Amino acid sequence: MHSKESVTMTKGVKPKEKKTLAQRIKHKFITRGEWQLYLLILPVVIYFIIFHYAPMYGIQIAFRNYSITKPIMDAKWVGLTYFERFLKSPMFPQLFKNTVILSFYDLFIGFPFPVLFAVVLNQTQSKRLVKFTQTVTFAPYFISMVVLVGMLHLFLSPNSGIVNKLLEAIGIEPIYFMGEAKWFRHVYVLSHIWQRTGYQAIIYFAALTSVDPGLYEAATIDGATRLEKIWYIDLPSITPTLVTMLLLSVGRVLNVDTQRTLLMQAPTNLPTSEIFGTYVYKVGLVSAQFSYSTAIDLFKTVINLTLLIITNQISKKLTEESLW
Amino acid sequence: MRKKGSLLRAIALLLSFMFVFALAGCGKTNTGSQPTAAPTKEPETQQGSETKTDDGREMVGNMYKTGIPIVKEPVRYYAMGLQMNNTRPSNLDETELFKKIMEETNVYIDWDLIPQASWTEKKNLTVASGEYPDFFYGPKSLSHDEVQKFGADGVLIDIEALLDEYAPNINKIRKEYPLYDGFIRSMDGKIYQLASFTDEGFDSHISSIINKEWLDNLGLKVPTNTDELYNVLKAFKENDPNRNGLKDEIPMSFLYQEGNDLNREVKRDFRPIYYAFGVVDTPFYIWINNNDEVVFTATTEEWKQATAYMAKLYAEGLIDTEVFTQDRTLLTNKLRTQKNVGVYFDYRKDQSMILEEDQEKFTFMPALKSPDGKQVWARSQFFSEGGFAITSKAKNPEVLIRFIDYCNSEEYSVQMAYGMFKEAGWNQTEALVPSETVPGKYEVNSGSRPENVEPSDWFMSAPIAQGCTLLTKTALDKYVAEKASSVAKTKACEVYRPYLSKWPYNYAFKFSPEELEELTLLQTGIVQYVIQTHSRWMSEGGIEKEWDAYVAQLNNLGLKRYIELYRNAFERVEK
Amino acid sequence: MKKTSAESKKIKSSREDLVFEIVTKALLIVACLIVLYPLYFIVIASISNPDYVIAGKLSLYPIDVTFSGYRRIFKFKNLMNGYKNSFFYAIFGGSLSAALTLFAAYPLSKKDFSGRKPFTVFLLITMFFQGGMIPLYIVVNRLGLRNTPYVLLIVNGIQVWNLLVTSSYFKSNHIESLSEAAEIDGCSHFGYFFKILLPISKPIIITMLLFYAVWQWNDFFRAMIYLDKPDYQPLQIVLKDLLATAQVSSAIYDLMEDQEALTEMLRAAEQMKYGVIVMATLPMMVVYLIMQEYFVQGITMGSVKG
Repeated sequence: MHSKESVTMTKGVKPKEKKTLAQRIKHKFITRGEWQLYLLILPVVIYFIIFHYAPMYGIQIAFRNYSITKPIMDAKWVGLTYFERFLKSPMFPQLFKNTVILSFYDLFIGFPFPVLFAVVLNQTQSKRLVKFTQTVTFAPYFISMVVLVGMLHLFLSPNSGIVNKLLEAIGIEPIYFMGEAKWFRHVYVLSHIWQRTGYQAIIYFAALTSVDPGLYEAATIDGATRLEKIWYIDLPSITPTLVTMLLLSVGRVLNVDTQRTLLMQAPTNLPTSEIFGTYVYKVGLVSAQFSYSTAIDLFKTVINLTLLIITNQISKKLTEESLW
Repeated sequence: MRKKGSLLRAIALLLSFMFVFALAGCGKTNTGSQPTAAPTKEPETQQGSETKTDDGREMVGNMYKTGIPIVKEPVRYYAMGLQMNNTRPSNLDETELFKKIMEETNVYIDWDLIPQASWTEKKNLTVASGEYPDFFYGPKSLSHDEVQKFGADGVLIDIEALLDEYAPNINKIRKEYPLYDGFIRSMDGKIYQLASFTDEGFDSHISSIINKEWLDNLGLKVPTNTDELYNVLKAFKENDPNRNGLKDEIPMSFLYQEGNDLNREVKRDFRPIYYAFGVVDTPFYIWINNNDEVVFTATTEEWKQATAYMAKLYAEGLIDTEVFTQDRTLLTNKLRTQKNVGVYFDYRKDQSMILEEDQEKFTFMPALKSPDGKQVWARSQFFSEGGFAITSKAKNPEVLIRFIDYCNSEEYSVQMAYGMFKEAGWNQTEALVPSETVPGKYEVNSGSRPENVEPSDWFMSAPIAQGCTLLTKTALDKYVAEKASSVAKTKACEVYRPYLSKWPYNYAFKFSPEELEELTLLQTGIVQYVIQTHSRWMSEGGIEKEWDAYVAQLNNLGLKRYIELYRNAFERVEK
Repeated sequence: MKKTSAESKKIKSSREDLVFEIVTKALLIVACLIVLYPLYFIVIASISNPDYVIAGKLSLYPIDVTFSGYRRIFKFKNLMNGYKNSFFYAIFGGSLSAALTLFAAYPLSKKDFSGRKPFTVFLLITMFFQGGMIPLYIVVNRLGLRNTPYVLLIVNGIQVWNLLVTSSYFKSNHIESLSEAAEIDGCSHFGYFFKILLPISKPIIITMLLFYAVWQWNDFFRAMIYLDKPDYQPLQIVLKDLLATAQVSSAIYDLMEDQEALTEMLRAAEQMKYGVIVMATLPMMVVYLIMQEYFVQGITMGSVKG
């Protein structure tokens, strides 16, 4: 996970280079007891082979003209026909735009919240309040997606929802949050923040609590204000965590939560809420065009991987943090 | 500590073994994956060996050619189907009627009824994995397109010859309803399915309803054209028609869409507005107009006018803000509890979304005229495709044909739809009891629900309207006293009958597998685009400015070919 | 001179501290309210007269308290079965997945493990490429798992993310230092893992158990796909069916001649919506509150660090 690790690894290997490969394997596997490690990981590997790698042969239906009534292997090869069709389809620019905007919006607006929240937690003296807040804000993490979207519909209804009642009380016309295209992204991101902030903040909070208290004392003596301490001590200390989290998020950027989006869709918000995932679902499962939907999915994956590799390279150069 | 460690180690080993075994299982196909599905007693195929039994009935193998029981030795079949109403028990064999039928026929069915929400996925998956049932069951459990596709690929079998030989009841119905045969026949001339229906003489599917009390309070008349409707709605919004001093009125509300499935018909209850402008809008935007032309509705001038009109109403707050997301429960609550809706659309007026006590306060709004004098109403037909289809998995399909035919005798078709015949005062389950008002006929015992039984528990007890029931007018008239809801629907149909279009809006187009493949691709793109654009125009406006670009985009999506496919399909059959 | 400036700084900073303290406390309290109020609202809505809820009159306390929504929920025949199944999936699925995750995370946390990189890549690939639903369905079907109680334990399987978190936990500093000590003692990997590592890793064990249990508990889609008959269906499906029974469809008016009953049903449907949310969420919330202590610790130490 860390650039330093790979350095230490190569260092560790070097002295043994004089031995033959077979000897090295024997040494590691038997003498150092690595077979035990292999045995431990074996069940998971088998699991992934059966339930993830075996079904991967299904990816080829993106290149075949598949119909559910016949086996995959009997379907005709059609090459990149479906990819071509998707790239040429008028849906493509819209899907691409929506997916990218939604995921980056979610990423960059959603990202600072847990960080700030963790900083505030860290700065609060009352440990009891901190613990209580942590407990409370974590709770939404356990709410299932279906329930969450159901709650959104209830609270945001323009006729009876509590949010609009409040808006009315201060003289604002009711807003049709769940229906209007321009509101979809905000509702999506805000509800995500509501559900995830408590969970994600724990990770940063952990990094903050491991900061050497001496640093704060030294800063106090230097006359640093609290905000300066946050800026010069807190933030740098969580940067590695932040970068790793950011990298992982960027790598999955087009994997915006399909289920959540699908549940939040209304005919009127489709101009902003139709994304790769929901379209794949509709084309594939609902209208049974499995080849086409697999092609779209595969296209998305390739973009994701490319993004991940690029950001990883950039990050390696700039911050020396990288995923591999 | 040590004990714990070794225990965990043991579990780890066990797990590894488990997975290895699981892997080994991969090689074999079809082992034990369908334990409940396989008939316990495998019916043997003994075609041709006709024999006669003691009671003089002819037999083919295990099956009697006439009479009951249908088979000598009990047989089991596995059925998968669409659960019509979620309140029904998931296993039909739990209902008394099916218990009786299965005992009488000696044909036992494992019913696997799937709720609508997951039906499409499950159906596709079972077919893709080759583990499909002996037969599909339930209205619209398969679409016409699926019937054709599955039929051509050998998943479904052609049942025409079997029907001719073993289905006297259904054959009688086929003769009685000449359109039925055309409806169930696929493009390749074969019959892979039976359609279900209830013939109560209804020929339209929706009615528009207006609050008469509000009109009276404001001294207004029932609107007859779109301009008048606009003025009435405006008055509803501004002049406090319910006289409570609050501006809480919703001039017009409806279900913008019900259901989300692209394959099934999505209900869009606002279509009467489009009828007023002279175009019958349909789920796939294909309509056969009165000159027998197949047209794409969503690029017509009438459609454009209607959409602009809707946008105007919405922009001025004359249509409920949340039409796009509300469901039927919410709308019903508005009508029943809040009572603040002026105009809405429904299957019928009485016995539906409004309270019984409010029924007189509302009245039908007739088919409206557009400014240029056009006016039409959608005709509908009552057949539902895909009600019953036998797959290649079924051994001795003739047994199933005899079974479904047995369920569709006049006597049983009525009971399948409304519950079993019971004596007067029967209050155990929902059932048909002798009518008090019409001697010699039956009615549903809705009045005798015991106090302590919840309504939803109550009507769980009969296989009502569920499955492949072919309910003819003859059978209905013979046994059932007209229900209040039917009277109400008849009333609604009468209002709109003069304006009905020549062809039903849900006309069944038939395509070849090759055409279907092409069509599905075009359809997803086109329909999605229209739906999206329509809701945007309605909520945000912009139709005038974007119209040309919209039409160009549709042409880009292959609109010409799309219409052509439908046109060919229509002309192939009708000309 | 110097002293006074230092003192003034001190005074300044203590005043600053005070302001800071008030601001941060206020922020935390607001955060708590934002999270708690919706949850609280669901609870009071589930016991209030639905008419007030629909009209949007409910805000701070229940109005016209009634338990008819819950009565209807409890009467639903499959409810208890659903709870039983869901607990089964949460407990056994959670344990199975957590155990396998722990086993695999240990080797992945070993820096000098020769298989570390290949296996990490092997696992990461699955985060990007999936075969799709049909091939997976065919595999599950051929293994004879469909419509068995085990299918959800297996298809809900192992999440790569959790594996990374766990191995990160094993890599964290204080565990690392122990590991070095054990190596000097000459412990075998098994010995070290089972006798030393697991006993001190309670927080991550509990975290994984809870994560997987919640995952199982909230799963809906896979249960829908792989289970046809109600015998093994988890609570989420049962509750969804229950809501569906109260859902009004156009067919219902045809079937229900009893108008009064229909009105009653509509109101119940509205109230049940909230009750169902409470019923579905409460058990996991309670488990979370009990396990809370370990949980925070587990995620804290397992947080994926640089």
